[in-house]
Amino acid sequence: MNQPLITSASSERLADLVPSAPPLLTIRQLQKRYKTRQGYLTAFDGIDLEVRRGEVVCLLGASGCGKSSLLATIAGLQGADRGEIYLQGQPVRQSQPQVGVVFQDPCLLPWLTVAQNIAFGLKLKHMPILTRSELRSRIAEAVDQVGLRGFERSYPHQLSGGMAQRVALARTLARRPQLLLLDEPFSALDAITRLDMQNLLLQIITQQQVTVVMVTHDIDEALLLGDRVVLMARHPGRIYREWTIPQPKPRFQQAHLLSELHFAILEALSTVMDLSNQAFPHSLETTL
Amino acid sequence: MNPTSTLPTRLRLRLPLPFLGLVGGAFIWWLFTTPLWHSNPIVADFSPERTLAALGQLFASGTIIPHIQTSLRRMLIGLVAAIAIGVPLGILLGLSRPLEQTTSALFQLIRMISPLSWMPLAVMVLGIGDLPVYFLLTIAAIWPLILNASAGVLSVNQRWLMLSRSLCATHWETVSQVIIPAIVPHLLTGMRLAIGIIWIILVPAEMLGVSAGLGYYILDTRDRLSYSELMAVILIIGIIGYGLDSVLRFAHQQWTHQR
Repeated sequence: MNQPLITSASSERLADLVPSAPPLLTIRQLQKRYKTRQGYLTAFDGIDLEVRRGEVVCLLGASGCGKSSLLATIAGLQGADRGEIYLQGQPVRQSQPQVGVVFQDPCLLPWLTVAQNIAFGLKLKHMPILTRSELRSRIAEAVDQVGLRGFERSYPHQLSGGMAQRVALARTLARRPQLLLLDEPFSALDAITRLDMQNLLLQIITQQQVTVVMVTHDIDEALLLGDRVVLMARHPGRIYREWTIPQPKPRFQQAHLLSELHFAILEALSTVMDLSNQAFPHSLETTL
Repeated sequence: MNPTSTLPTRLRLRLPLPFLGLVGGAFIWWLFTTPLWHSNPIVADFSPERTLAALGQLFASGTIIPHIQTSLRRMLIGLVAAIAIGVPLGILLGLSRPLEQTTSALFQLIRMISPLSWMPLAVMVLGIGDLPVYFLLTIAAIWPLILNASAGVLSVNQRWLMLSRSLCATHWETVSQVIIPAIVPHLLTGMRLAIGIIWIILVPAEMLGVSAGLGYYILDTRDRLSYSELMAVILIIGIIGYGLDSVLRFAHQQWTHQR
């Protein structure tokens, strides 16, 4: 059922990313199924993926291809039915402090200020204990990183959508995660704010050398931010094809150089959609 | 119609409306009781003019103060006891579906029993004094707190719980730092209802062989045939009840505005 993994384009950029080191994240034959009234729905199956330290991998695909479900499984928010996830060689079966997740919704706690929302993630039992001054400096650092100085005492309802997403990013970054999982974090924002946020994310990735797995349905976003773009097919969700992007970042001024790749991905996406539409009747396994 | 031109008019009309309602109520009260055309001295004793005079005298002499303090103290103790039992129980019911299912029939049955029906039993078991009053107030006030707390837990935004899990929060951290703050508006609503019930139950409960409190004082004025004082005490009960409700309504508004 699964298509063989096809890799194209140059892998020079990947070779720059700690070539001899073991991958930070390894996924082997991962499968997730959900029980529905009609039977079991396979969200994704046979996922094999390796993400190296410092790499930015964008999971791209149409709605329903299981990319968000895959991200939630990597984050340890739900268990897999088959397969294994390894973070630095250690199996992942529940959420890990060294993994940060940013959702499409900022998920800010409305009774806390910006600073308190950031502090929330730092004061939990699983985190190393910080002194009051360390906590303050961590918050200040995160607030500065996302450009929200002066808004520390604001409440979430006083912030715009972009600002709220910046706080969500700051809350995750303040925990200094090794792996950042982003689930369509900018999809609810307008085009200008999205570009601004993409720029900000790129700066943070460069500064912190953080490893990122980002789910998106926006080809341009994947091309601007990713070192690797992984296209997922659906019914069931599986990796269909992947591309490495050789252009150095930032790529905002060289979007025209990426146009060929953009159309290649678009064509592959179109093929994937046709294939999945044919395969859809077989995706519900009535095993009840 | 131009909305800007109507705004001051609407404000002028809106602001005095509650006040107008009170004045209207007082006017109807005055109409049915005033000594100006009611020759019956008992009816005239219930009039606003005599009630206000009695009210002034009650405060000037300080007679009513200990009774108000006693009633407020009982209300506070009843409320604290109801919160201490009702809120954790409500949260537990919200968190545990089996526990909620096990207790739902039992609690619905007990909830439907009028708190005043427990009066004889309370006196038999707890004797005469403050204890049966506290018991009655607590059992009356506990239900809105349990129901609002459990409904609050069930309506907590699932995304906040997901966030909490993604940040590796323990179960207790999720309850104490996400669920409890999230259900504060529900708890304030529960407290508002609880105070309303307590304040209503307090007066008949204080007729249970106690020697102080506003309920006791109403019986006392009745026995002394001092009807203007009786009306004054009724007025005090209404004003304090309204004040308590306003405080909680203000707290609820402050919290939800913040959100």
